[in-house]
Amino acid sequence: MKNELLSYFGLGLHSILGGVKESFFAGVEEIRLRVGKPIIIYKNNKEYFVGADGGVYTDINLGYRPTAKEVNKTLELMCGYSLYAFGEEIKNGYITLQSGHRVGITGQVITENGAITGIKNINGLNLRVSHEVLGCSNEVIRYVCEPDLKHCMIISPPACGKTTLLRDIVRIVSDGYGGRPGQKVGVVDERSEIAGCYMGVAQNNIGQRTDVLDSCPKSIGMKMLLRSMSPRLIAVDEIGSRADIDAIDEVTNAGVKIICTVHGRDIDDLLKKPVLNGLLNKNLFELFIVLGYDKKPGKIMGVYGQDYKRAT
Amino acid sequence: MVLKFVGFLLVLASTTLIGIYLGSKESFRAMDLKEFKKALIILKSEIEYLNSPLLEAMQNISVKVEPPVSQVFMGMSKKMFCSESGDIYTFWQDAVLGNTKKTYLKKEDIGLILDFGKCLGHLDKNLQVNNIRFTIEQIEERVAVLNIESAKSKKMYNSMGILSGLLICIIFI
Repeated sequence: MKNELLSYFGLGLHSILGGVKESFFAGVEEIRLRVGKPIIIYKNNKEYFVGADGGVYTDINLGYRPTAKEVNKTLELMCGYSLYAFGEEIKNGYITLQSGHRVGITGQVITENGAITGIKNINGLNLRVSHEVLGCSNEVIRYVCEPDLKHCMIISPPACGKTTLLRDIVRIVSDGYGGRPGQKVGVVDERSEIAGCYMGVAQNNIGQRTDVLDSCPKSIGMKMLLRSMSPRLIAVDEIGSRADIDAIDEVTNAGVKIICTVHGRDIDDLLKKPVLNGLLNKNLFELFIVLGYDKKPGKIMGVYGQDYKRAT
Repeated sequence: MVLKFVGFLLVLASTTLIGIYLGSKESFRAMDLKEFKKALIILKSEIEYLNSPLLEAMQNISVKVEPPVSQVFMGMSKKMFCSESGDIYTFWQDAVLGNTKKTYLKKEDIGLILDFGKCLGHLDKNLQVNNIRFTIEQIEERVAVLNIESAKSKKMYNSMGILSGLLICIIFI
């Protein structure tokens, strides 16, 4: 993990972070770089500051403050010296790296006729480390697959492991759960976070019968998979737009099961989202899994049935 | 006498071949430039339509164009893959200067290729594409001039080769 993450950091940051013990990198959730501000690493819901000597401290004043050049170089390395290839993603404020790590980007936003055309003078990067946790869905998989595969929605605040859980459910359904035969699964991986595709090949374990449309807009990808790959289940991450809802409608009308994730704290929060009202009013989803943070991400806070009543 | 005759023939053949080689040098240079143009056309497509990162694009180009030009792109992809720091122009410089020794490209051609690398990898895709177009145009202009010049110089070097051979033979008779 250390060497992989280190390869993304340029100039002085490479040697500074290189001085951090390898064991510390296990379980790291975020590495934040801000120009002129201390480097912060988030781990187990605590923040740590990395000093110029590579030491990890809890005192903010000991944190090394990267320069604009170092931050820019780091972004260049993260993009494989090909910023142009990430242009569309940068416009959305993030890029996805190999292995599915996501990097949030802040800086001076350039707009033209109200639309974002790019970001310059980058002042901050937030590397969110993707963790593949095989078996993290063991607690809930029976609700998803028994007695038959269900339409399922995973609700979670940011950075609480919804993509990790989705990935593991996809893997188990694809490989076959509890002696059942594996199912054909289609994944529309708009942000390359589920499969973590690199040059088109999934880097994460997403099962033997899973087809991935990488970097494809969800609303288009769902329809493409439906028409071309005859999936039994389609998985998408972070739905939220009107186009996503329409595509889910089309998928479910065709008899294909859907599993998706959505940002939210709990069921009540979900019901307050106007864009999801139409979808929820149809009583389509048979299962809701709520995730939260309890010492570490991925805590199952509750599993709810079609009537929003707690199953566990 | 026979030995002398064989010697003259050898001298004549050698000078003629040297003449042909010198006359063809410009054609070989034009061929290298055309191969480089082909590489740039592939790069343009990789960036414009396939949105490929540079490493992927360089690897693809290195298998699609002929050596020794392919070595430049192979060298570039190796530099990018292996280096943990450094900047893209330095990689390009190293790849070009280290792998153009076997080509017939002249200093001014290498200068043009090096200049091309100054904009590589920047955020603006249009800049990338326009930079490639601009370099292709310059290569085309250079090749057009070379084609005219090489036709003239080919004749001249061929004649010079034969004539210098004859001159040496006459001097030694």
